[in-house]
Amino acid sequence: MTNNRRVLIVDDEEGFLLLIREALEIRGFEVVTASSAVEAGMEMASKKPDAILMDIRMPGINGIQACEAIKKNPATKDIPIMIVSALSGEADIKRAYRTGVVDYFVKPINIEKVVIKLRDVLGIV
Amino acid sequence: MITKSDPATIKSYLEDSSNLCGGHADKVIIPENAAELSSILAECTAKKTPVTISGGGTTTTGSRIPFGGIVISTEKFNRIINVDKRALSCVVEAGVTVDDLQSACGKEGLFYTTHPTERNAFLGGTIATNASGSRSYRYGSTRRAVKRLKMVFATGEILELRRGERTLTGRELSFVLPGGRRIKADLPGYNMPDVKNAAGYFVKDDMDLIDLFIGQEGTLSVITEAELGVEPKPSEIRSCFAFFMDEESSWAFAGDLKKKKDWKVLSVEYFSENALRLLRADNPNVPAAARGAIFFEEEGERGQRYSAADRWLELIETRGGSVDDTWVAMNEKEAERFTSFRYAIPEAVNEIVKQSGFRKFSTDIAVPGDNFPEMMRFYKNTFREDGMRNVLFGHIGENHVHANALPASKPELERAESICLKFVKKGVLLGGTVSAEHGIGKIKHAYLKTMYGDNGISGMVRVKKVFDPGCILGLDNIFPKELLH
Repeated sequence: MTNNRRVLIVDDEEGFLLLIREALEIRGFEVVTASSAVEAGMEMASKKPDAILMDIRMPGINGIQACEAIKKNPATKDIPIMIVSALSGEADIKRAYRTGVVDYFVKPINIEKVVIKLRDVLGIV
Repeated sequence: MITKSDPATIKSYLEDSSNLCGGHADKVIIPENAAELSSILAECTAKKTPVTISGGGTTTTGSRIPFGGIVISTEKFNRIINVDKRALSCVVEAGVTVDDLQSACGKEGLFYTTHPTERNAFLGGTIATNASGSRSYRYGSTRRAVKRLKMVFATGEILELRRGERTLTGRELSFVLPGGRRIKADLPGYNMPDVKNAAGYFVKDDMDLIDLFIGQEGTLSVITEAELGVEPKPSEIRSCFAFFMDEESSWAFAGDLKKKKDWKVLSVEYFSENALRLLRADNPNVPAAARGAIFFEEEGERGQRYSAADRWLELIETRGGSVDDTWVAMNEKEAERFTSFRYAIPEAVNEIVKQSGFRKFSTDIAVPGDNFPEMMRFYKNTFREDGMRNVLFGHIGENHVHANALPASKPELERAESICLKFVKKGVLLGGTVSAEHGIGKIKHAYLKTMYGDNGISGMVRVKKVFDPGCILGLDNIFPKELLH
């Protein structure tokens, strides 16, 4: 059963996108995917996601730069962003939080923990 | 001490039940006691000679296959030192087989609960891999049985460690070995999944130190002796094969069984449609319409046989099974025919592999119960979309089913590898483990990295270097040896 909430996942690893898309869809979310920050920008304009899961290391604009751009734009600044990255250094995590993200998950992630946080920030009971 | 170096004589020490080829070693040394083993290891550390420990050779992960250096076999550590009926424990050396211990226990009215499929496994190997089997559903894996270990480190120190004797504070490892060497390290920071697990080092806040050495796959020390817990032998073990008309009904029935907390269920095993198709070739009485089956065992008292069968059948019928399609064995003798029937699956799979000339890819993933149906559907859908021949069977009671991809051509072989990696990633995403019972050995490094990431692996390397400063023991087991430099 769908919960009418749309999540944008931004990651350049196709296998990860497919897996997390399926796992979130099974749990009732509508999922939009993008494999780069530029593609994410286009999807945001047309699909208006309720939350974003963002990787950091991507070709071109990285996830941190993408988060900064989203938070600067009045139209998108209130969309909650969670980082999902293999980077686990304290500096990376602090840098991400300074952009205003709501949580940081180090890969490999456990989908249940991500879903709990998504439901929490989106107010899904 | 015996030393063998003739290539024909040592050939059998260079292989195991994995399909890993190319094993080679300069010689095989067979020590007779811990003191001999200690001096061999100290010398190997001084000379930086790699050492691979050889048990019964039943592992499926290549962990006992050497790629250089020497092999040390534990086959002379073969004494059952003591079976204590009152204390419900036994003391064994590492080279005693599971079968031998089971026989010795049986004579005393006792029973060793760990029940790996391969009965010729050495107990030392089962401890080093934290082996389990179908009955770990009720009794847990080998870890639960281990009360005390005696082991020798690569530097020659000998340590006896009893459960409860040394507990860590948080993840800080700090103690002094009998020879005076201080061991100090931080354990890796990963959180182990809350499922049956044999992947990587066991680490947990405030853990018992003994647990670090159970499941270490011969990378930290050589286990020479163990005290193991045993149980009084159940008066009867009954078993049942229940066949269902669709696979999801069989999964649901396994779930029903797991909810029956007052039933003393020992094991719950699953057979997919493809597994039944394989079995039908030699067993025409497998119901023609069956698309899934569950085998289970229950411990019980004599005189309650028929009420037990009534209970079972009532539950089986709620999921669409029928009395006609249910096989029941009321004692161990009757159950023997089930045993050969169950073991026919891996044999049939191996036969397919032999005929095709291509290796199989088999997963060992377990996931939390809530996510198990999702994992099963993922297996089924992925195989269906690809069209590859496959067989699913295994320990459904612990949400742990082996998915076997059986490629029949070179392109399929390549796809099988990526399919298994897909399964591994999905299992990890669902909060599971990449290896529930076989361990990592030399063939699942990439899977372990998917589970614990680079940080987790480097944390394990750090721990290994503390115990084995010359980096000689069990090289390439659990993580690539290149990471040790």
